[in-house]
Amino acid sequence: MLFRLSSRLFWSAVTLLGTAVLTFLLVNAVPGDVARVIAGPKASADVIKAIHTKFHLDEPIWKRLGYHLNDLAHGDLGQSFVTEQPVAEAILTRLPTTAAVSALAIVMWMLLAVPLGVLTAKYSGSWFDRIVLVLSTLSLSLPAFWLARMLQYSLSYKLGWFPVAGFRGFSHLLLPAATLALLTVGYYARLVHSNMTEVLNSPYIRAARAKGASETAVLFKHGLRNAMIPVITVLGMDVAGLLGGVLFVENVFALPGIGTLAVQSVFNLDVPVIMGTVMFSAVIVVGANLVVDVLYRWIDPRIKSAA
Amino acid sequence: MPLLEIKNLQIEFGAGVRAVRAVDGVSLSLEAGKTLCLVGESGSGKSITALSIAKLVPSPPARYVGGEILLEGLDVLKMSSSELRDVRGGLVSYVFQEPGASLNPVFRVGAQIKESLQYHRPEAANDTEVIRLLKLVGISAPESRMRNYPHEMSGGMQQRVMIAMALASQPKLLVADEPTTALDVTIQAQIIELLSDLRLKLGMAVLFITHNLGILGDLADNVAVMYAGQIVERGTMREVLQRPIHPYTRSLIQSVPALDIEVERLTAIPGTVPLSGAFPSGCRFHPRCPIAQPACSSRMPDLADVPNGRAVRCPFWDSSGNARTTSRKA
Amino acid sequence: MISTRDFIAMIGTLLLATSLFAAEVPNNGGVLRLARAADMQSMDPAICYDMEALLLARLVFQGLVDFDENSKLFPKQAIDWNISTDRKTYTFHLRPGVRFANGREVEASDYVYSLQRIIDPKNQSPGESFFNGIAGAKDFQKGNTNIITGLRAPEKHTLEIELSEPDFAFEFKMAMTFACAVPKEAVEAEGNKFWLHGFGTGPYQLTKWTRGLKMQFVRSPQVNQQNEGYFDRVEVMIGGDRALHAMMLERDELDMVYLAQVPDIVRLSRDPRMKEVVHPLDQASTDFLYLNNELPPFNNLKVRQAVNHAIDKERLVKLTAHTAVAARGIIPPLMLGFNPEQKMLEYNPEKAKRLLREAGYPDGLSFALWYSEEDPRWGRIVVAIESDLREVGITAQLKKITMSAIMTALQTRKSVPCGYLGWSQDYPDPSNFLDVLFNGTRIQDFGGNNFAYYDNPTVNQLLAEADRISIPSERYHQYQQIEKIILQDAPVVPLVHSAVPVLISSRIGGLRLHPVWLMQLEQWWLANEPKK
Repeated sequence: MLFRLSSRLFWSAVTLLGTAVLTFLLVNAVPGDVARVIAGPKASADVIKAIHTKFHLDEPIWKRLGYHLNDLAHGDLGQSFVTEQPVAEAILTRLPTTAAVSALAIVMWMLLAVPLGVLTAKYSGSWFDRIVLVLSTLSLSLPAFWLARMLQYSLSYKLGWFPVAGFRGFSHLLLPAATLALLTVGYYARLVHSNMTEVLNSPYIRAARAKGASETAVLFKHGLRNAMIPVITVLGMDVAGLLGGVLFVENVFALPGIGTLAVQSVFNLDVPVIMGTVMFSAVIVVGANLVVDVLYRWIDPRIKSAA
Repeated sequence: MPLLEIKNLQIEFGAGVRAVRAVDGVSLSLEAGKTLCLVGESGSGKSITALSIAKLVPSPPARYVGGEILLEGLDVLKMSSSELRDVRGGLVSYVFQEPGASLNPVFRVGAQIKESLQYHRPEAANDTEVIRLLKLVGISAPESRMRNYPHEMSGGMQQRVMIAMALASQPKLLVADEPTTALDVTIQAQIIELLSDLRLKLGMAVLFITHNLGILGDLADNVAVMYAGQIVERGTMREVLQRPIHPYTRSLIQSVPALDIEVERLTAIPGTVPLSGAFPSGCRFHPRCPIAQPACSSRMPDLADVPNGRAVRCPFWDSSGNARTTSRKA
Repeated sequence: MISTRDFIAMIGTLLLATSLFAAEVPNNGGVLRLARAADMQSMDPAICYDMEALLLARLVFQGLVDFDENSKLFPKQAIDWNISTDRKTYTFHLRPGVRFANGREVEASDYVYSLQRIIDPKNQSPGESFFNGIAGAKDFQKGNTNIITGLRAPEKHTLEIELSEPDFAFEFKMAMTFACAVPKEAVEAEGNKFWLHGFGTGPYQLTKWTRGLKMQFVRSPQVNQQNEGYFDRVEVMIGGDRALHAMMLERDELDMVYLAQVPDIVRLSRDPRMKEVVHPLDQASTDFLYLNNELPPFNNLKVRQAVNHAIDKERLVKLTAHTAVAARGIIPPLMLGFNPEQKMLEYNPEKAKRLLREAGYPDGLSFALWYSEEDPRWGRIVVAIESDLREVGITAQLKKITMSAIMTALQTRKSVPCGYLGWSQDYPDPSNFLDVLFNGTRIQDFGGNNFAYYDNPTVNQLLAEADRISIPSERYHQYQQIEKIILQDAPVVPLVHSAVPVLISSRIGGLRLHPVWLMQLEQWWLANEPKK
C-alpha cells in the first residue's frame, strides 16, 4: 500500500513536470510579443526593450524554462505579465465561480441521470428506455460551444428566462451549469443504466424483494447504492475532465472563472497565467485521480479490507 | 385449511411459439408447522416454484400462466403489490442459496436485519431485537457482529444472518432455497440443525428446497420430487427415502453419498436434465429411465395417487421390483 | 468661502449646463453598467492609452485643460493659462478648491509630480515621448539630476512648464489623460499600483477591482465639475465578446457596448425598437495600407500608385455597414487642418493596370498583406481589397496575425511588404499624422512609427518648417501642402475614416459626441427605463 502510494506520487510528479515543460515550449512557439500587449501599439522601442529585460524575454528559451521550473518547484506561479497580479491570486479569485458552476452542473446532471438510469434499467427495452438512449447519444455528441451558444440565444436572449451573460448572482450560474449538465447527463444516464441492470440481477436484490422491500426501496436503496460505486469513480475522474467543458461554457456566458482566465491569457500571450492555469488543471487532474483512489476504498467496504 | 396450497401452477418464460413452461402443473400443500422438502436437480423448476410462493419470480420475463397459490386461503397471484409486500418477509420468509451474494454488500448486517423489522414489526426495529435475533441463530458476540459488513463474515455466519433476517418478521412459512449448497460440509450440518431447532422452537412451517436428499435426515415431514417442471413423486419423508417408487427418485437416492463419504454427485443417473423448452415428448424422464417402455415416449403419464398417501408420475412404478416389494411389505 | 473667481466659474458652468441640457433634466442615482472583453492592464493615467481604457480612466482622473466639442481647448481644472512670447514657457493657474477624492486640495506641485512620473523611464509610460520636450527632461531621464528644471510650482496654484524648444502641440498634450493629476501621497504609499485604491480629481473613484472579473466605481465625495458624476455607481463586467455584450444590452443587462460588430449593428439598426441605441461615433482616424517603400515591389512609385488606383474605397464602406467613410486624405475630417479639397488617387482599375505595365509588371505581381482582426471590420475590408487587387492582376496573400504581432512586424525595418493598420489622433494637430507617420528622419531599424519607411527629403524639410509655425491657419496650410506631396508619392493607401460603432442603452441621458474622447461617461445619467 505504501509502495503503491509512493509510486503514484512519483508518476504524478513526472506528469506535472512533463506538462510544465510541454506547455512552456508550446506557449513560446506562439508568435507575437507580450510587450506590445502590455505597452500598447504606439509604445516606443525603448519601452518594449525595457519590458523584455524585465521579464527576461531577451534571454534564451532554455534559460527561461529553467527560471520557470525553479519558481514552480518553490510553489511560485509567478505574476501576470499584463496585470502584474500574482497568478495564484488570479486563479484563487476565480476558483469559486468555476467551482460553483461545476458543482451545480454535477448536481443537475446527477439529479437527472440517476433517475433516468435507474428507470431505464427497471424498464429496460421499453419505449421510454429507447427514447432516453437516443437522447443520451445526442447529449454525448453535442459540441459544448455550440450548445452553450444555442441555449444562450434561445432561452436567454430570445425568451429572457435567464440572464444572457455575466455574473451578478446565482441566477447567472443556472444556464451555464445546465449546459454542462446537458452535455454530460447522457453519459451518466447510460452509466447508471448499465450498472443498475447488472445490480438488479444480483441475488441481494431478490433478497431485498423477498424481505418485503418496496420497489422504490429496492431500486434506490439496495440497487442504487451498489450501482453508484463505479459511477462515483468515473465522476471523480470527470471532475477534472469537467474543466474542459467549463472553459467553453464560461467563455460563452462570460463567467469570471478559470476558463475565461485561461482564454484571456492566451489572447494576451500572458505566459505566466497560461502556465498557471494549465498547471492548475494538471494538478486538479492528477489530484482527482489520487482522491478517487482513496475515495473508492471508502465507498466500497469490500475493497477497504481487501487492500 | 393448509397454510400453503399450490394448485396446478404453471409458469412460462418468453412468449408465443418460443414460450417455455418451466413449471408445469405443480400442486403442493403444506400444513402449518410442518416441513415439506422439494427435491430435484438444478433446472427442475423447484426454485421457481419456491420463489413463486411470494410471487418473487420477476414478471417479465416470467408469466404466471395458470393455477393458484393459496396462502392461508388467499391467492398470492391475485394480490396487489402492497399486499404482496406484507406477505414477503412477513407471512413467508426466504433463505437463499448464496448468503454472501444475498446480503447487500454495502450495508452492515445489523442494518439489514433492522430493515426487515421496519417492514413487518416496526415497533421492534431496534438494536435489542437485532441482537436477540442474532443470538437466536447462534451468533456469538452479536453486539459487535451486527456492525460487520457481510464480507467480514464467514459463509456459515452469513447464512445465520440471513436466517435471522428471515425470522425477523416471525413468519409462518420459511422457504429455504438450497440454504447449505454453497457451504462446506460441516457448516451444512450446523445450518440444518439450526433450522430444525428453530422450526420446533418457533412452530413455523418450512419449505426446504434441495437437490440433495441425504442432508435432510429427519428434518422433513413430507417430500415432493420434481423433474423437468413437474412433480414426479410425493409422499412422507420416511416413505420416500426408504421406498422410492419413481425410477427418477430411486436414481436420485442411490446417487446421494452418505454425509461422510466423498462421491461424485449424480454420476449414477446417465444423461442430464433436459433444458426447459427442449422437453422430450411423453414422459420427460424416459430418455434417462432404466425401465423405460416404448409407450413412455408417446404419452405423458399423470401424477397418480398410490397407497399410503403417496403419488407418482409413472404407470410402471409397480414393475420396478424393489419398489413394489417394499411397498407391499409396508 | 467662495471667491469671486469661483463664483464666476460656477455661474459659467451652470449656464453652459442649462443651455446644453435645456430639454433634459439630469438625474442623480442609479448604476451605469459597462462591460469590457478583457481586463485593463492598469488604471494609472500614466499607462492608460487605448480609447476604451481612457473612457474609464477619465471617470477618475482629470487635468487642467480639456478639449471641447470642437476640439478647442478650454480650462477644466484651471482658471486660465498663458504662453510666453518665445513660446517656451506655459503658465497654468489652477482653479482653487479642486480636490482629490480624499479631500485634499490639488496644488501645482501635484502636477509637477504627475508629469515627472510620465517622464521617469522607470514608469514606462507610453506618454513619455509627448513630454520629454520639457526642459531638463533628458537630463532627468539619464539620471543626472532628480528634478526636472522645466517643471516648476512657484505658487500653490501656479504651474510653470518650460520647454527646451517651442512646441505648437504642447497645450494639446496637456489635455491628454497622461497629464492628469495623481495624488503623490497615494502613489508613494501604494507604489505604482496606487490606482487599485485610487482617486484623482474626477467625479468617480475606483473602489473595487477584482482583476479579470469586475470593476466598481462610486461617485467621489469631491465632484469638481458641475455637469458630472450623476450615477451612484459605475460597474464594469470583464469578459464576454462584443456580440455577447450586444445581446446583453438588448436584454437590458448592459448600458453601453464599445466597438459593436457589424452584424449586430445591422440587426439593431433594422429593429425599430432598438435602432436608436446604435451610435457610430466619428473619430479622427484613418485606416491605411502601408506599402513598404524600401522593399520591392513598393520601392517603385508606379506600383504604389497602381495599388491606390485599384482599390474601391466606397465598396469598403458598405462592408462596414457604413460605420466608416471613404478616405478623403491622410488627415481625417475631424482633425483640425483637414482639407476637404484634397485630391486623392481616384479608383480607376484601368489606370492601375496601365501603371503596372509601365512599372514592368505586365503579368501582375504578388505580395503578402499582413493584418489583424483587432477590429473585426478589418477582416472584411482586407478581403475586399484582395478581390479589387486581383481585378488588376495583383495577388495579395492575406496573412492574419495578432495586433501585437503586426505592430512588432511593422516596426521591424524591411520585414513586412504591406500591412493594414488604423491610426487615430492623440491630439488634434496634423503633425500627429504627418510628422509621426511620414517623417523620413524618424525611420528606425526597430520601433519607429514610419510604417511605410517613406523618406522624402522635401517632405522632411517641410515638416521641420511646419513644426515652427504657431499661427494655426498658416500651420494647417503648410501641412496640407505636405499631405498633397505625400498623396502623390503614395507610400500608403488611405482607405477609410472609421467611426467607433457604439451601442448605448436608451436609458442613458447626457449623451454628447466628442471629437477626441468619443463620449464622456462621466457626464451620463440615468434618463429613463428602456423600452421593452
